[in-house]
Amino acid sequence: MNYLYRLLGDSAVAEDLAQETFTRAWNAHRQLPALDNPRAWLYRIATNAARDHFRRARLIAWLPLLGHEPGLQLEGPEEQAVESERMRRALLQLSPNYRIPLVLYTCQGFTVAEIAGALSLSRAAVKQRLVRARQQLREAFE
Amino acid sequence: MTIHPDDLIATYRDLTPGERRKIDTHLAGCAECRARLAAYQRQDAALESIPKISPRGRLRPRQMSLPRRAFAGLGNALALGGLAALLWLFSLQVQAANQGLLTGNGTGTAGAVITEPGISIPPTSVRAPSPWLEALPWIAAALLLVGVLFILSRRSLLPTVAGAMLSALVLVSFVPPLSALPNPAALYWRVAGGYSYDPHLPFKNSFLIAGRPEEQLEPYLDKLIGEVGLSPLDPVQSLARYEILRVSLHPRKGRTALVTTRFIYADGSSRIYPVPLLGPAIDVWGFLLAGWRADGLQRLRSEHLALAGQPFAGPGSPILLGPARRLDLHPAANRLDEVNPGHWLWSSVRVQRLVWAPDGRAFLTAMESDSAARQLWLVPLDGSPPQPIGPPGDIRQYGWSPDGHTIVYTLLDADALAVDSGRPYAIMSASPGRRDKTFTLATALESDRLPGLTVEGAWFFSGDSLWLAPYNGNPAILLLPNLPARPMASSPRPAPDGLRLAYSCGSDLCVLDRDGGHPAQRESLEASEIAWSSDGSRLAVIDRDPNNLRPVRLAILSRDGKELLIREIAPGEATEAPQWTPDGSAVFVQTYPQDGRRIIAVDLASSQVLDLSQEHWDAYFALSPDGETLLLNNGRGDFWLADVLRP
Repeated sequence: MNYLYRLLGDSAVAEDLAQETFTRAWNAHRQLPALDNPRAWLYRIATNAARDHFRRARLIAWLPLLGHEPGLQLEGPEEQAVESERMRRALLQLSPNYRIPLVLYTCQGFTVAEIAGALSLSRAAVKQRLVRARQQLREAFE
Repeated sequence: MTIHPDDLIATYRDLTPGERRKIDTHLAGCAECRARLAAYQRQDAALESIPKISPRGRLRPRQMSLPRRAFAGLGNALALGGLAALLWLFSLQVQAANQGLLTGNGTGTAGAVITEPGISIPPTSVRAPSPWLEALPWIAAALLLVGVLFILSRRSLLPTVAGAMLSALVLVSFVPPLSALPNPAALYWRVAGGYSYDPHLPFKNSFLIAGRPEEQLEPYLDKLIGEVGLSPLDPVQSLARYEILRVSLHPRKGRTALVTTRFIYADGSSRIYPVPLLGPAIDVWGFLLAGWRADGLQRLRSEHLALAGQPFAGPGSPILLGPARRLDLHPAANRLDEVNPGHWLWSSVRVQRLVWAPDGRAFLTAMESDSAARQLWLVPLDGSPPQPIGPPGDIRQYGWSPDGHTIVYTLLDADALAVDSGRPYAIMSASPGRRDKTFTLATALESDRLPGLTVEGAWFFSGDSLWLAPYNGNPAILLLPNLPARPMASSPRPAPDGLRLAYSCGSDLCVLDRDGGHPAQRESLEASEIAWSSDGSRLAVIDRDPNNLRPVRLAILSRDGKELLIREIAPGEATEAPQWTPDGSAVFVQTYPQDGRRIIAVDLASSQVLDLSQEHWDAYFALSPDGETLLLNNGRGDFWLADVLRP
């Protein structure tokens, strides 16, 4: 669910799509043979649910700028919370094609190979998207 | 130029040992890449610091809900059920069409498509089956649609609930035994009327008709197999078999069931008649009708026996009837009497009276749709549509002026009734050419009997005076005040020359000249009906005790009232007016002994009284103006002709 929350930035939608993910998984697992990597398969379903959501809602993230604050100066808890919120908003400005592999890699601990398997991409393509995702995120954050 | 391995820096956590050695070597000599790696690591830390969320409740897969799974199955069932119902109804339709079951009415060859177009007047025409039968395919299609919609949506219960309610309504309305429960469709038909069902299909609203009228009727229909007669039988071709097509409740008389039946005769021809069933034994406010106590065939089942003194005409009789033949009228005219299924049973004597036009090209008849709501009809013999004469009303008697230009009838006048209940009747006139234009010739009269019809106008009594009302509605003229004997609820019968008249005066018959001269009073002759011979030389008088304490007699009197002949013509009950042959050789009288309908002929040369009626006829008749043909009808549809034979 947190994966979806990071992708979508909306806890209610994330919860709903998590339920949708499990519903799809429940319907599908009875018709499938044993899975090699159930975790990747579940994330793939969640990713598809998120993509469906993007298509249905034609989600346009319109995010007010919080003001330009240089670098990461992690000091007290209050400053950390502000920085986290800025990062969450910056992440939402990325297109889904970059946001999804980045969240899988950094937040969910997926390897490049696992991401490639979940998203049906080549390893090189995953690496390429991660590079661009990081660049775009840095620009969005700064 | 230095190449910076961005892809390895971006995935520094997930490198192979070889890649790790390579990038570490590069990082040792490249400050820019070291800074980038540090930035990415801070980026990762920041991403991980985004707060986590927890579900508000336990996540439950939605499809695990039992009601939803059940409704999902119901959606499939609705779709499949609707599809199956459509296919089934289609196959039934094809089968029925092949058997000619759902085609029109009228005559034709059994099994063929039979059409008798243009029947619009009778409400019981089988051309209008229940709209619900035609709606069933649409209902099935609706079920299919709802099922498909539900399968596609799977998100809302609304289509399923609507589909379930629709299915329940269909089941409880059409499918026994569930349809025996109270249901809104039965209530609708109880109010709107006209419910019908096809006995070959399993659909039936059993709350409205609990029993099976067709099964009650079948034994009686079986008894008619091999018989001949008038409607619904055929006078020449015996009944070979029958097919029950439809069962309905009469559109207006909701306690009468109509079993629409195709009667198929020996030569393969067929006709369709709605056979009525009346008097349901089970009847709760018009619901649960069952156990019909009377049927339209029962008078055809009674044995046809000759009455004492009135033998059946046979070989050697001076008067005979030839075989009856069906009149080729307009289809609507053939079914005029369908407006009232009671015509199959009732012995009402005045309503169906047939009156030929003087030129023999049309006839008058009145059909009763409801109590005191009778419509007078002019029925041409050339096949053109029947024409209503005047508005419907409580019409009593009707006839033609001698020249055939005017139709005259009597009715109960509500306005006159309100003024004086003892004088409630009126005389009306209408022209066949302008049938919507009627004139009131006289009103506030004591008698509903047809006035005397002469070329000048209508003769009638008011008090003890004789009046003449012109047919064009001009004021009536006093012809004779202070009659020597007061007429008792009777009507004057003028001789064809208009110079003499006869009328009932109490229990006697009075005859006098138009100017009051030469009066004669024939005592003990209770003249219920009087008719002059065409030459005006004789009178035919029906002598009938109103209390039925003695047989009905026909008296033939001279112009001055002298008795020439008296014969018994019926054991009792009512009779119609005598009808003379033009040559004055015979008198025909319609009698109704014990609910029967008999055709009595009195041959004046031999003084013989003969019963010309035949088994399974049960017919009213009218003698044609030329005296050579009888027009027949028995209240069950169709009109017939039979030649009068004088061997």
